[in-house]
Amino acid sequence: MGSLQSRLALWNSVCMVLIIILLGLLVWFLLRNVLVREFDHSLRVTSETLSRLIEHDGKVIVTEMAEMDFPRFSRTERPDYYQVFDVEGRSIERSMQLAENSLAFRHVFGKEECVFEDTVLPDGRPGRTAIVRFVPLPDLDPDPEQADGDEGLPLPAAWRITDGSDPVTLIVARDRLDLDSTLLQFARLIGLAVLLTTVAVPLCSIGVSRLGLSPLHKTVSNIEKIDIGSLDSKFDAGGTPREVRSLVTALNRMLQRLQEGYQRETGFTGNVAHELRTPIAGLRSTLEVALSRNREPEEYRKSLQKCLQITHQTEAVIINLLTLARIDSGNCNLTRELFALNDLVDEVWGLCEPDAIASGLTIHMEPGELPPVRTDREKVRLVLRNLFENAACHADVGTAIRVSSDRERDRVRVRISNRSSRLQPNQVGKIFDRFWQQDEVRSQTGRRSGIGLSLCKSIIELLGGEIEAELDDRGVFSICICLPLES
Amino acid sequence: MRILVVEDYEPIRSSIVQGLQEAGFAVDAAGDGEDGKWLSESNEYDVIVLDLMLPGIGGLELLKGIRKAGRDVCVLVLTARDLVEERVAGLNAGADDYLVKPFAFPELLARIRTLVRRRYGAKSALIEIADLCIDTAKQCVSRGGLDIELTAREYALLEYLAMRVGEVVSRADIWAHVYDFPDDSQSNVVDVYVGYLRKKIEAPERPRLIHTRRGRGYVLGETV
Repeated sequence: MGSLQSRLALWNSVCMVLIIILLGLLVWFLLRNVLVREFDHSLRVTSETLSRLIEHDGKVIVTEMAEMDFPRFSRTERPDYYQVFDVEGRSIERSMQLAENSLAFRHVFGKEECVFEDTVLPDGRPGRTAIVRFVPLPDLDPDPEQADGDEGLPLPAAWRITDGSDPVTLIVARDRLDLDSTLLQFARLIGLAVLLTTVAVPLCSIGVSRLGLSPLHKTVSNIEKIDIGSLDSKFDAGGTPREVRSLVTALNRMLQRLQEGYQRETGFTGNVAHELRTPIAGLRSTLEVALSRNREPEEYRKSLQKCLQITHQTEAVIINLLTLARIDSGNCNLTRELFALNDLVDEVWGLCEPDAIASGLTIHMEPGELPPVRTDREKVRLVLRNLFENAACHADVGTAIRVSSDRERDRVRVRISNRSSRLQPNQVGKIFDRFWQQDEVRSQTGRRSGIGLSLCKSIIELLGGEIEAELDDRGVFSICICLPLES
Repeated sequence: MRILVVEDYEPIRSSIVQGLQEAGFAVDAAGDGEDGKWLSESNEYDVIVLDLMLPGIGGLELLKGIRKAGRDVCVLVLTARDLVEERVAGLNAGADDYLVKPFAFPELLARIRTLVRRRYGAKSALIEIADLCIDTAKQCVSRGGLDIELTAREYALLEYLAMRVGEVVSRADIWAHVYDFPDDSQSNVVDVYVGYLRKKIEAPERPRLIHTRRGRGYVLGETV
């Protein structure tokens, strides 16, 4: 029951069976009504025929049924019955086959109404009666003998009035064995049809749901084929139903996001490996070459200085990675202290200046009047160092890096700008993305793994500040960090 | 043998250059892909040690350019990337060998020597010309069973001549493949070093192995 297919098949079957049962009942009732109506119509016709044989001769009710030959009433096997009652319910006339039996009389109200009722015939057969109340018409062709004898008598009230006069009640009864038999046959047929449909519908539902869900199964099958090496594959949405197509489209988008994420992760792994392997390789080759022969002390000193420089660079990379990992895990503790931000800017720039000068860059400091800031000095130092290194790495050779600071209400702002002709406007929105790199191949020192600016953003947000990047029309790229005075 | 080292990380680049020079190779170095491209197009190298992750022109792109230009040079890719796909990509792009950082410098040296031998069609690290025996792996030279002490430059010159045994090797070729100095093929440095080499490997009672072809160069071989 857990599968969508079985649920669809079940509910489809239940709904279809219920609908079919209801339709079967509806058909049966319609048929029954039609047949009963036809039956009643036949009774009504018989009743009307008989009623024309009941007249009023001015004195008494005269019936002529006995003179007529009605096989249905006279036959001995399954005869029909009729009986005429006066207004008092006294029997005036009855069919011969009734003998001493009587049909159940009941008053019918209203003028010349014909009422049909189910009943049990005197011989025990189930039957149906048509009860007609009417005022007999006058006998326009009276018996001459009787007419002569009755000459001069006043006309009966029935002649003069219809409503309120004494009507008679004619009851015609007929067994409904044939009707019930027909109805039973129809009921059996409909029941059989419903039964067969009830069996067939679930089977059809299973087939139809399987057919309907086949694009989904195909999609699932394709999804199962996706592994880490085939994230670049795309599902073909052509020829699939609209609902599945939207799913396929969403899956393709998800695959693209997964692939991008995986590529970034893979790239990051490679970059981290590069970040660590490259300086280790530098250390190893420097030491191995230094030790490959006996050298003068000055040569050893140069090699050791080189090794020290490499360890400083490696340390910076490891600190970046660890800080980012701690911020991600929520275990990054802050140590707040009061310090002058401009002094820290000067101090950090002093560390990066040799590399910048080596790259032919100059710096313009435009410090503003800043109050002391209470925040995590070491974290801000890390941010500034990454920002300066980023600027020194990506600034166009021979240009200047501008560093300015000012106060804006309850926060301080540091802006670092440099000209970067390689940066495209559409890349600015990505620079804080983790693992994103402007240069697909490499930056110079092996220290640009695409985490520096991402780390800056994480730290600044952790300190309650904001960081923004922009590229103006002249190709000047700026990163602005804002820190609250009391964070 | 002349080697080009293209590596963006200065500590690695400088140590490789120093180590190779001390091993007797003539070495040029570039810190980015553009310089590496220019040098590879301007000079004839026996081996290029190429880092894949370079600023500017990437190592793979540079390698493809070298192969597209049809340059007869062996390329040893040196990178921190060690995924199989990356190695395959490097080899498919035309690399002759692949070394992952961090590496042992002796291994790098051994691989460069292997590539040098491959470039000149030498099957073995041991080259024998008459009774002269050159072990390129150990950089040892002996003649008639007697070891001969050579300086790095002398050994480099002998190895280059041995790699092209039987061929007339011009002074310009020797200059290009053996010497680090600025190009000055009009000087007699080559002749001087050939003279040094002759003194060491051609004892008076031994047949001459280095033959002079006036105006054309030198030939190393038993008989000419």
